[in-house]
Amino acid sequence: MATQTEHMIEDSRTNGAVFRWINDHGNQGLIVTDEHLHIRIWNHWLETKTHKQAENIIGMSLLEVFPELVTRQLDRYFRQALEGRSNVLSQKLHKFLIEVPASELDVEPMRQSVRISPLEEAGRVIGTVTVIDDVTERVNREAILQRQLAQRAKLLESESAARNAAESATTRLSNLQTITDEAFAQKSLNDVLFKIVQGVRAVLNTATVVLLMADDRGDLIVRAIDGIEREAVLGIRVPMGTGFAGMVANARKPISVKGNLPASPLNTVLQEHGIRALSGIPLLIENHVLGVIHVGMREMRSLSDDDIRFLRLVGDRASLLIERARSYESEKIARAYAEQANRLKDQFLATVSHELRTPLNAILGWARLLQSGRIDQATAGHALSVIERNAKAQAQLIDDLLDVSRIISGKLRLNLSPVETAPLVEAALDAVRPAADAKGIRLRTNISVHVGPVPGDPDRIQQIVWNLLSNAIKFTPNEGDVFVSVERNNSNVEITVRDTGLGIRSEFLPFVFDRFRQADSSVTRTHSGLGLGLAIVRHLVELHGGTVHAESDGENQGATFKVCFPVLGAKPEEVDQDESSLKTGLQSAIPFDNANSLHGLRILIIDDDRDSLDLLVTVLQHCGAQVVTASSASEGLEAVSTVKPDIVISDIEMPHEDGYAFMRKLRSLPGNQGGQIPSVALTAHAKAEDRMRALAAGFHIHVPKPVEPAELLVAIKSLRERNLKPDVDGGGQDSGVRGRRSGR
Amino acid sequence: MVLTERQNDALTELINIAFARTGAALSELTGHRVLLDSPSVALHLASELDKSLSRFVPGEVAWIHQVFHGPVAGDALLLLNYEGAVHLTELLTDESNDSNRLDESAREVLTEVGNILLNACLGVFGNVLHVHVGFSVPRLRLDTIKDLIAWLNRGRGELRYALVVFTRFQIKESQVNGYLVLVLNMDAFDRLVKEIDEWIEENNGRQNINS
Repeated sequence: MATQTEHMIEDSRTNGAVFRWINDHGNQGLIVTDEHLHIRIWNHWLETKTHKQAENIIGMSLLEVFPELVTRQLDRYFRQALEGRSNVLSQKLHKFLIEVPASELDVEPMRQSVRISPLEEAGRVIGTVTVIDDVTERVNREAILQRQLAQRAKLLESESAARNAAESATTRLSNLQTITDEAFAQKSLNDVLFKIVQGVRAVLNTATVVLLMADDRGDLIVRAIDGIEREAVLGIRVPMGTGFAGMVANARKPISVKGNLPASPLNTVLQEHGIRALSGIPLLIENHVLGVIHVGMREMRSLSDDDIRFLRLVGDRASLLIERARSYESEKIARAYAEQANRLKDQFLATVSHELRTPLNAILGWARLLQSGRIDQATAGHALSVIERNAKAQAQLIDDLLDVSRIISGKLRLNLSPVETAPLVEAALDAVRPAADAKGIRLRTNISVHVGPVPGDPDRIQQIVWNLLSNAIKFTPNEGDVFVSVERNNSNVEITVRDTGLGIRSEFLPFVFDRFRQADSSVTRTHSGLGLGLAIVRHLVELHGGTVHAESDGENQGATFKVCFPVLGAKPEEVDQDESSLKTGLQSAIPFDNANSLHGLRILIIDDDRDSLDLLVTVLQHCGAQVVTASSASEGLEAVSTVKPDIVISDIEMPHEDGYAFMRKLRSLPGNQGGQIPSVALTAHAKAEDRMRALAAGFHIHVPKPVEPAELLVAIKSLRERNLKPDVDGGGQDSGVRGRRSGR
Repeated sequence: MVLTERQNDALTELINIAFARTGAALSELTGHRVLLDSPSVALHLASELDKSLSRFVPGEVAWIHQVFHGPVAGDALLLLNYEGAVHLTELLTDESNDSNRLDESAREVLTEVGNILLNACLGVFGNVLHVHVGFSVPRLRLDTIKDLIAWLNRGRGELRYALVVFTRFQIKESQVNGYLVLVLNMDAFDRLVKEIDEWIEENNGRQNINS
């Protein structure tokens, strides 16, 4: 049994062991001092951290070992402990009690949390106990957490900023929608452009918005403006690559400038209006620059990225809208043309149908009467003559139709030879005399027999005269007069047919030779016929290199038709020689004696095929013309401005830009820059619609390939002599039938 | 038990002395001018403490607690509402606390501040009462008022009084309000009142108090 002393010894041994364990294993600093603040315990943890060994400092004064405790006024806590008070020292307010590195790698001092308490025994303070906790890691952890929390707060902030941006984007999207909706509602390109610039200015609140569109050369032309009066800038041309718009177009990306604006006619105006900064974006379709939109500010600022993005969106939509408006406009023109052509065809068919039936009535009627055998001999004779006359009339109608068809398809060919006109006029007179006699119309003639030969197709010249005479007789009342003359007038043979008939209203004079158009189809048809005669006349005359025109002093004042054929300069026997010479290269029967017939004429030929070009050059130069060639539409346009040709001959099928496009551009030029130059289309496509399309594009004459040089010469001559009236003859819309009767 | 007006005034005066010391100590520690003042002192039965404190905060309070012992024993507490506690640490450490939560370091700061304040008050009382007062190491707890009061009165059959001192910290044009609470048993309180009366006599009505 253990004694009390043994217990006490045992207790003391246990306490010693516990103390040693705390000393060796404690994960905190432990300083125990006596009432004089002399160190009594300095544990292992402190030895490791401070490199001060207990054996060296035990018994020493704490404040002497660590004098900084006094300078930092921390000694008061130890004194308070000696008075019985406990204190805590937070790392935030004190950082540490004893300065040691946090770790061997760390230069930062260890953060310490400290408790300084009295050491009491039986109510008496016998010393102090100080416990030091290393809280460096905790402090770092807290710092990281605080940073994370701060980041989260920032994230929240940017999240809310993003939400605001999204809201602003929504607003912009709706603005964009409004602009494009309004622009979309417009059908004309100009209205579309103006709606776009107005919309952009309203949304971005800039001083100006200008929309420029690129032309074929790449120059930018101001097409719409908002913010300054339109008159000041509309139509201003900014040459390719110059000015601010040129910069944007070249860069194909948004650009902003401040201060000095790049020099351009447009920027001069903008600067006058106080614009000091510009931001612009290109309008692109498949990387092709359609134009540029730029906004101007009176302040020295650039558009924000948001605004630029918005402008780009508008630009993308605008490009599509512009394309749409353009195709709509060209489609509208094409549709209008097609509708008109259709209408004319319908009218024409109605007329054809009527005209073909009229003689059939007489033929069938009398034929039935004859079959019935109930008519007498005299009546039968009359019947047969009526049938014959009507059959002939119908045959004539059919011939006319076939001619017109050939004209349209370009297949009407002349069988040219040197001919004297007088006998042909006489023959035509003989042909119409019965009809004239029937109406008691007097045929007066003044025919010079030896006016000289013309290069012509005798049958066709007779047809021309016959047509004119028939027309005159048809529209001249009974007992009237028809006067015919054949005269030499300088180098021309002039055939004149004058009547005392219904006359032609002055406003219809320009149209009397046009085919496929009845100026007033509602007029009661008192005169039979298809009304194609005069159109055929003009075409035949022009094929001969001649001219025809009509004169009238007005209604009931009679009418005069005058046909001029160029006289052959050589004698008939020389013609034979020329004919033989022509066989070398030219297939035509046309005499080629008039080597200088195109003298002084500047002719531009556009063809991408070298061989065709060479042939035409040879032929035309042989005739004395100055020939300039171009192998593409763009070269051709350039040549028009530099050479100023009298006549342009263009192939239709060419790479890049075809002849139609070339002609449309040519016709869009002002008259003094070649916009009205007479022109010939050459094409391998000889269908009626090709012909129509060429005429619609602005060509005056359509010559099918392979080109017969003689035919081309005739065409050129007729163009030279023809008094061109672009309003009347320049566009395809005006092609069509204008029956002469409607005007008389 | 009721304090006379003079006693009340004297008590307030003593508190103010302690507060002035606390303010000076905190100013020195933080480098900012810190003022503490107390417009009112009130006496309650400890069991009825919730009546005066329940309107203080409905939620959690941060309270720093120190036990003092010796001839006069009891509990000393500094109560701050949670937001006030966070704000006070921000003001004293010059660090903004975006998370609005009391981390370990912030709690240590509050503990030290409470420690300084409670030490000052108890020190002044000890001097006045001519007794030696021992202090335990301060601890910080987060609790509701109700739980706090229940904890204060746990297992105590004796009647205890609570001296409740409204406390206002003024730092950098900001204010943080709290309560200082001293809970004493009857004997300690009797002794305190008696010593106060003596102190009034000695000093002939609030003259120089030299702790």
